[in-house]
This record gives sequence, structure tokens and C-alpha cells, in this order.
Amino acid sequence: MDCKKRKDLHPVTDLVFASIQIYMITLIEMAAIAFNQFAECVTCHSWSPDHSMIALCPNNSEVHIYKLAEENWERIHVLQKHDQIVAGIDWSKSSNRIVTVSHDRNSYVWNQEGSVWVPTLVILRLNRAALCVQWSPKGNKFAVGSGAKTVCICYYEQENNWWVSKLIRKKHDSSVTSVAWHPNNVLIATTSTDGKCRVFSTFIKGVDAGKPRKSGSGSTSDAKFGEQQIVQLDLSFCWSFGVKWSPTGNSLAYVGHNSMIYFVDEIGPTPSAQSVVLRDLPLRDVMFVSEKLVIGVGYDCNPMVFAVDEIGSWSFVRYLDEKKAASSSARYGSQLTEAFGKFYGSSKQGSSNDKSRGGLHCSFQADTREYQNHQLQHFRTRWKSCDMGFEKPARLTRGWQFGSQPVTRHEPNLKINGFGLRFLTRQPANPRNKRVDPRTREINMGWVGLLFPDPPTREPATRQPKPDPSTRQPAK
Amino acid sequence: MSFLILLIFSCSCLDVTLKAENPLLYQLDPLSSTRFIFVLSMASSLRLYLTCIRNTLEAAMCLQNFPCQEVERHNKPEVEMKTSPELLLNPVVICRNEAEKCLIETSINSLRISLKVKQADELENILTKKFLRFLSMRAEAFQVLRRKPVQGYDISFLITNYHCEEMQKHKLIDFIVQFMEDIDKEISELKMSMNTRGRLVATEFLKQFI
Repeated sequence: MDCKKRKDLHPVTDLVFASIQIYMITLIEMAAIAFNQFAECVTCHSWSPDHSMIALCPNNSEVHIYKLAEENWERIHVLQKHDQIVAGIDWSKSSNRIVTVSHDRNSYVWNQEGSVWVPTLVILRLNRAALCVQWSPKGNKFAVGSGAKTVCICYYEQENNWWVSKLIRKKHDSSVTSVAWHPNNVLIATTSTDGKCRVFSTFIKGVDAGKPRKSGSGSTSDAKFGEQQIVQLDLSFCWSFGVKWSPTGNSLAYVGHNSMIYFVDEIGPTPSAQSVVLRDLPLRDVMFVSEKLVIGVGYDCNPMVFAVDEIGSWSFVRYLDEKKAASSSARYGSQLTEAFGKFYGSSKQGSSNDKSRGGLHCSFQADTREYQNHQLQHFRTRWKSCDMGFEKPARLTRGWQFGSQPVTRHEPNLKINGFGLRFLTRQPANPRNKRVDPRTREINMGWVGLLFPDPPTREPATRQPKPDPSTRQPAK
Repeated sequence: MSFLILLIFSCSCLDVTLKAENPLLYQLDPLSSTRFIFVLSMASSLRLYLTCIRNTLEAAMCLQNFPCQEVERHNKPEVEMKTSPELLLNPVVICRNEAEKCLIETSINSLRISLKVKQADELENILTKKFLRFLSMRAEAFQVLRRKPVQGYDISFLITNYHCEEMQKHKLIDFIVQFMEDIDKEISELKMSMNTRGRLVATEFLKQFI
């Protein structure tokens, strides 16, 4: 696959954090509208259909359900059934059901009966960890990606009162990291750590009524279950993550761990693909806000916005968190903006190189969901928190205040007799005071490529992205 | 097999520019996928060496929770197990000179950093060995320290996704870099006090013959 590589991004860096940021996106304004520390580290989350509740896993075997009550999130349920870390949660859009998968190889479908959530067993027939899950758009099936290099398509069996699964075997060469359903309820796309993105048909007789209609994006003429691998995209040099279909199902986006994001149109025998090279750390997940706007989140801890122009070439637009505090104050409430002012103020100190080291330290972990509310689209990201260290990090606490919480864990006051290890007790110099040459960052980005088997040839960075029709080239 | 050597020249310590990237000229071992970086500089090359390591670590430390593909219900650092080659990235060797180098091996859920510390003479050799052994025996106090160094290196660190979950990434990197900065100083201080003490003892001993 020979795509024209684009490199028109400005560097920003890492953070390590933990909690959920809620973004409100209008066409012009984007800002984090809420910031809530749910847990030290959130591994996965999902929103309820009406977006009043959120189910999340605080990096253990439990699933917590929070409800928003007057600006405060209250924990209303704790779902305990798994015995290892929960790797995926999805709350069905069409029915009030939650499906959870875990590294203990099990999956449960939770139904709300009165005020309790009742689990139903899913016969996954897996012998390795389950890694990701998603409900189909109609809510009658769900797909589970696993470390056993298989994908399970699960559906309900009335007579036994459990969910059974049909497996797509021997199609992946490594763990399946992400699954996504096409809006037509039949096609799924998967990404895997073997670097490929594949599209399968999951037509199950008796569950899907009739022949699936031909989707707008490609041929599903032979819709036999799992057999027909409609397309296999071999664009990435390294592990691929976070596949998503666009709202109409016409295009597909996924990310590679070699700091690339891939956009695929015309899924079918002759797909056309574009790849956009990032100068920063790799992305982990993407989300389509609309047919023309994509948001990617990753190890830089700053969501990136990508957009497509009239001739169909995708490019990086901006970072979500680079917003000026002044413009947000005009729009949102005062108390909120005060916190934002502090937040952005602290993160704007110095050059963009220093940004991550300034205020909030976030390292992104996982995924994104969206929903429509009037003209606003809300976008939620999962962040992971972390506060160790040799100093106390400043954190946003409840109620929009910016302050520091004492961290008692991991405060090494280690002194070993005789040798006096100074490096343990010495405070690291404040990196904000250091002048950082922008070119050092540029190299750093080269480093990302350096780690991968076949680093793509990189063009010199251009500050002004120019739409170039040659970025659209057919895939292999 | 792609084999890459990067040479880094510099005038000032922060002005790092990538000068040469010639895979043909430096093709030493075509079977290895290890990437070598030689840091060459006239002045203050330690800073440059450390900047290079810091940048590489920043790119490499993108770790995530990833369960074992081979054994069910296990979760192991892939860089130690090396059971699935597709989960490993290319190792990077950063050399300052023959005696000082740093090997960074990365996988999907773990990262291993191995250091070779400068040893100019026999005394430094013994001091380094004793000192680093002393640290390795107390590895649990350091969390990220590996109990045994990788072969050919003096000390190794193993960073897993669990460390990245409970500690800040840049603090971890700061720790490693600070460690490297201080280890040289520590050794030379030890050497100096050793010499002073030796001289003192010798003087005291020889006084009886006066």
C-alpha cells in the first residue's frame, strides 16, 4: 500500500490521568464540559441510551454505574460477577441491556429488573481473554473480540435463556483489539495486533431476517457467516486499534500504533484508503462525530480532530484541548470557566512542548462514544489517572475546583545507608523553565517510527496542510 | 531486513538534529532488526545521550493492558516472555561510546531498559558491580528495577503497563534519566573516597616505621 504520507501536525505530548472528560462539540466550539474523577484508572466505559448514566470499570473486576444528579455523579449500582479485569462494556442503544467482557474469558449480559441488574450467562467458548465488545445496531447480536484470535458473534437463545456464540476462527493472526458494527447490522470490522483491519459478514439464519440488503459501501452479495472476508486492509506496519464505521457505513477509520490513522472509503473489492501520519504519540481509538469529522484519542492525552475536505482528503485539523479560555468564558457558566481558565492557563504556559508537563497529566486509555442533543454533539473520552510520583500532582477535584490532593502512596523517601541515593530524594527540575528546542520534538516523532519494523518514509514537515488530490489512492 | 543506524551530531546539547541516515553504509548485521543510534558529539555529550534516551523512552512507553495470548488467564510482560513476535517492537541500542550504551526493548504491555555503565579501570569495574548488585537486591523498593540485568548490561529496568497506570509516565522517564545521570557521579565519588581512604590508611600504616 503506497499512500501519500502527510505530516502536518504540531507536536503535543503525553499526559497520564484518569477520569472521564466530557466534551461538547458544536461546529465551532469544542471544550471539555465536564471533568470528573471517577476512579484512579478507567479501563472501559459506556453510556446509557439516554446518556444520563455511565457504566465504567475502575481497573478491576467490577462495573460501576454512575448517574448524573444535579452536577454530581452518584454511584447507583455495582455489578460484580467477573473475577478479572473488565475489558469491555457496551450499553445497547436499542434495549436497556449492558454487556460486559473480561479477561477471565467470560461475558455477561445484564438486564435491569426493578432496581437490580440481573446477569445472563453468555456461552463464549473462548479459551483466552475477551478484549472488546459491541452491540449490533439492532441490539439482537453482539460481537466479542478475544485474545484467542477469534471473534464471537453472540445471539440470544430463547429456549435455554442464555446467549450463544458463533465464532469466526482462523482469520486473525493475533489478538482482536477492536470490533465495530456496520449500521446494516450484518457487517463487522475488526482490528488486530497483527496490524490488519478486516471486514466480515455475520449473517446468522433465524436472527437476521431475510437476506441482508446490499449496503451502500460495498458488496455483501455472499453474506455467509464469517466465511466471506469482504476486505482485508493491510495498511498498518504495526498493531492496529480502534476501528469505527462512519454513521452511514460508507467509510471506516482505524489507527495504527506507528502513529498513523487510516481512512478507508468504498469498502468492497476496490477500497480506497488514505493514511495520515501523526508526528506525535500513537492514537488508541477513533470516533466519527459526523461523516466528515473524526476524533482520535491516544497516548498524547489530547484528542485530535480530523476532517475531510471537498475532494475527500482527510487531514488533521486541531487538538481538542487547545482552546482559549477566553472564548469558553463567553459561552459557558462562570464557575466552570474559572476552572477552565486555570486549567488552560496552566497548560498554556510555555511552548506546546511543555504543555503536558504543565498542568494536567493524562494518559489516555481507551474509547469514545457520542450522542446527539439538539445541535450539540457530546463526545466522551476515557482517561486514565495516575498520581504517583515524587511530587504531588495538581488535580481537578469535584465541583470544578482546581487544587491538589495529598497523595500518600508512592512517596519514596528512600535513603539507603552508606550510599545515600540522591536521585530518589531530589526533586526533578521544573521542565517548564527549560528551553526546549522545537527540533528535539521533531526527532522524538522520528523515534516512534524507529521502533517499528518498516518505518514509512517521511516527508519533511509542512506547516500548512494543502489539500492534495494525490492523497487518495486505491488500496492494494 | 531493514537495518538502520542514526548518527546524531550536535553543537549545543539541546540542538539535536538528525544528520545521517544511511542504512547501506553501516550495515553491520543484516539479520538483526536492532536499531542502533550512535550519539556523537564534541561537547556535553552526556546531555545529548540522555536526551536521546528520554525521547526514545517517551515514544516507547505507550503501554496498555494486554493479556497473554499463549496461557489462559495470565497477564505477563511480553518483553520477557517473547512468545508472540508480533507483539514486540524493534529493540533500540543507544551508544555513547563502547563502554556506555543503553538497550531499549519494547512490547505491547512492557518495556525493558538495560544500561551499561562506564567502567574505566579495574576499581570502577568492582565498584559498579558491587553498587549495582546492591541496588538489584533491593529491586522491590524501586518497583521498576529488574532483579537481574540483561546479559551484556549492568542494570535493567522493567516497566509494565501497571507501572504506567499508577505512576506518571514522565516521572518514570525522569527517574530513569536521573538514575543514569547520578550513577556516574556516584561511582566517581565512591572511587574518590576509596582513594582518599587508601591514602589515609597507607599513611597511618607507614607512620609506625618512621
